[in-house]
Amino acid sequence: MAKAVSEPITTIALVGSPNVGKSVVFNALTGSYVTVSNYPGTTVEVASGKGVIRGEEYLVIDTPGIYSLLPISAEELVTRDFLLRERPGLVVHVVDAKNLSRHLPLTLQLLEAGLKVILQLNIIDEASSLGLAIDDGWLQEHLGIPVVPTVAVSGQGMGRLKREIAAVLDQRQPPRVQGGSGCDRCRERNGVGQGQEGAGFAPLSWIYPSHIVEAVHEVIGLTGRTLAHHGGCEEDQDALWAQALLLLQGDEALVNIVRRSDPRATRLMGRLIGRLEAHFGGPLPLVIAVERQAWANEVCRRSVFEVKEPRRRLADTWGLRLTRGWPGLPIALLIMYLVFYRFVGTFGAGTLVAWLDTVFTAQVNPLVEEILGKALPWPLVFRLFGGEYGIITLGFRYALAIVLPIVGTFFLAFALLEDSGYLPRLSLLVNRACQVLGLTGRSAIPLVLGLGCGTMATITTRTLETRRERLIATFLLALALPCSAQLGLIMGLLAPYPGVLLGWVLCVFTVVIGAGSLASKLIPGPRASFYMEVPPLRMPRPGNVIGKTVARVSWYFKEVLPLFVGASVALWIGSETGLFQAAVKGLAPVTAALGLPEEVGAVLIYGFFRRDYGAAGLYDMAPSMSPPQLLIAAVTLTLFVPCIAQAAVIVKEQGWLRAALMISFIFPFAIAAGIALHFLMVFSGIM
Amino acid sequence: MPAGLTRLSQLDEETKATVVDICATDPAVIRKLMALGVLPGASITPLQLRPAVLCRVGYTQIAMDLEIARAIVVLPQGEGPSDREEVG
Repeated sequence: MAKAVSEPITTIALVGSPNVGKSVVFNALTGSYVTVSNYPGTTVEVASGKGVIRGEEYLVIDTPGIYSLLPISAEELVTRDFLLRERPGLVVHVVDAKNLSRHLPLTLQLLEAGLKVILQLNIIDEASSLGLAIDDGWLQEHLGIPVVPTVAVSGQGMGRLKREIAAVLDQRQPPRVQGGSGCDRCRERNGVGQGQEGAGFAPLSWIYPSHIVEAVHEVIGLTGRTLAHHGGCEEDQDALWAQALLLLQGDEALVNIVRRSDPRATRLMGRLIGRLEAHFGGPLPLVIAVERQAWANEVCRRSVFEVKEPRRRLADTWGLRLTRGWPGLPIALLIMYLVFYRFVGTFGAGTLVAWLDTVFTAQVNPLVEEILGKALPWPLVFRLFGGEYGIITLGFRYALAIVLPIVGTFFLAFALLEDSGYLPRLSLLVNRACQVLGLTGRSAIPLVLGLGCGTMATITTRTLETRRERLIATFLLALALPCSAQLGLIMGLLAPYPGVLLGWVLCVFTVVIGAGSLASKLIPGPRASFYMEVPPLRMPRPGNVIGKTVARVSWYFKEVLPLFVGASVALWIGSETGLFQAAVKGLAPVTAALGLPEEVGAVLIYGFFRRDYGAAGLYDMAPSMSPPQLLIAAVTLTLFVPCIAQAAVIVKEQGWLRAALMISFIFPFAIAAGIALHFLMVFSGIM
Repeated sequence: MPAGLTRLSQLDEETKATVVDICATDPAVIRKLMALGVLPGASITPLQLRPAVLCRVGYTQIAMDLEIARAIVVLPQGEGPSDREEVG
């Protein structure tokens, strides 16, 4: 990030709460695609891209959603630190126009922090259909910043947004004076007062009670040097103000910084906060939020008008039905059945895979082998590309003919679910059930995404609020949630035997519930509470759905293809040196205990490289197995170690120790579960 | 609790109310509600209470669990003004 901000390129940060369309704006400004969706929390990494406006190049940063500068989750902290430490050249505050009064307090905080801001009233069409008219001219005049109404998904107003960005950046002036220092603020406050009466409305005059303004001064006096040293914002009085105000509100990250370097200041600050809370009779974050909200409501009273009766949308009525147990739950089950079983399983993993695999085995592979046979007369090298474990004949075939159709259909279906606004409704429905597992309904989104790709889902756990919930969700994703390649192939393989399929579903469910409820008892920490904004149901836009699917599939392949090639090479080395055969032999006692043919040992080794690779291997081996053996193999592979990519992400998110503990539990557990299942079936006479 | 005041979790569905106070000792709960625009003075209407609470604040719908809903002290508005008096 530090590199990104270095001169001379100017940084434009897109800031706003989740689900206001920041990512669509990002796409429009940069021409590149980050995945965009209709639920809170898709942008987990800070995405950046270059855009050209009026011939000049800018770096555009799409930040994770925030509601206020006081962060709740880890990803919100990322955005906050970025804004206060890196000081982007311009902030575009993207808001949902119909909820302007809820978003304005953040606009205020951005201005307080001395940032250059453009206010983008996005999704203005939804505001209009609710009968609202917004006087953007009034806002522009009284906030002193450009205010641009847009419908980013259709491009409406985006031309004007670009012109305003260029205009603001052309000025190259220091941030608007809004009290360059604390003293100015006091003067401004004393001079203009609350300014909420008549023509003298001055929205940016200091809005807080004098006790708080004085306290901020005091906190700057106590901690200014520490903060400036830490954040590198010595020159920036506004950034100091913003941070001092956050300290007063008990911001954990900043309090910890101060505590480490100056315990005395921390004590004095604690006393100051105690006095203020006694004075106001309530916690300071609330006192400050109420002041800001009063200001925002006043701004809206003067700029937002109801001009028409709202149109009643069919989607609103349905939106409410979907969140009730009846008919919400049966509909949820139906959607899951259609998406995962019919579309990803039967169509993707069945029809498409069968067709593509036939193309590969009947046409591509013979052709490749023929060409390679002529071009590479050395058998050893030939086998690297075209043999049983060849890069092309095995690696590319698995990646393109078996994994691509499944992952592609899954991401397409997931994008549709996301953009329709269904997923938060699912979260609400399953919240209770998730609490048994030590999670909240919020986890439903990473868990459903995990049915597509566990690696991607593990990254998304960052949107969860508590460490404990992140840990449990990561663990369940690693242990029991099959990824789409596994899910699709297993459903495809087991579809002819409904009993076996049911058995597999039951086994996986039992493990999820058992492991989750055990984890929720064993892992200490406060229970996370559930809260979430539920966006209106919207008709997904085909362009957005396709763009997002393509972006995710290509992300997946960037991740997967090198591993597939690497696995092919490793297997080729293994088989040429005899190590691979030895390893399969070495696994013979394990496969015997599992009641499986010895060759399945090879599938377990594949599975170690990538989950989907292992499942693809199982696909090749299935015809030689009986239904109970299929069940054991499917269960063991589902529980088996997370693939290398997922393991790497777990290390990144949770650290080495936890990752190692998780994997060293999962590995023997998967084998033990398979063996237990084998014995159960032998004893009950099924095998 | 003073007369007339109740908790969001105890309101009937579709009863419009004004938020009076947030009674939580956990600062995180207050922070969350602030983020969602649930502050003293805001209008709030529960749309459903089970399996989780869903309510309308301004033009947004917000889902929360019962525990959070219990922390919100409200004054029912009875035959108050129209639903859309609170803008945004």
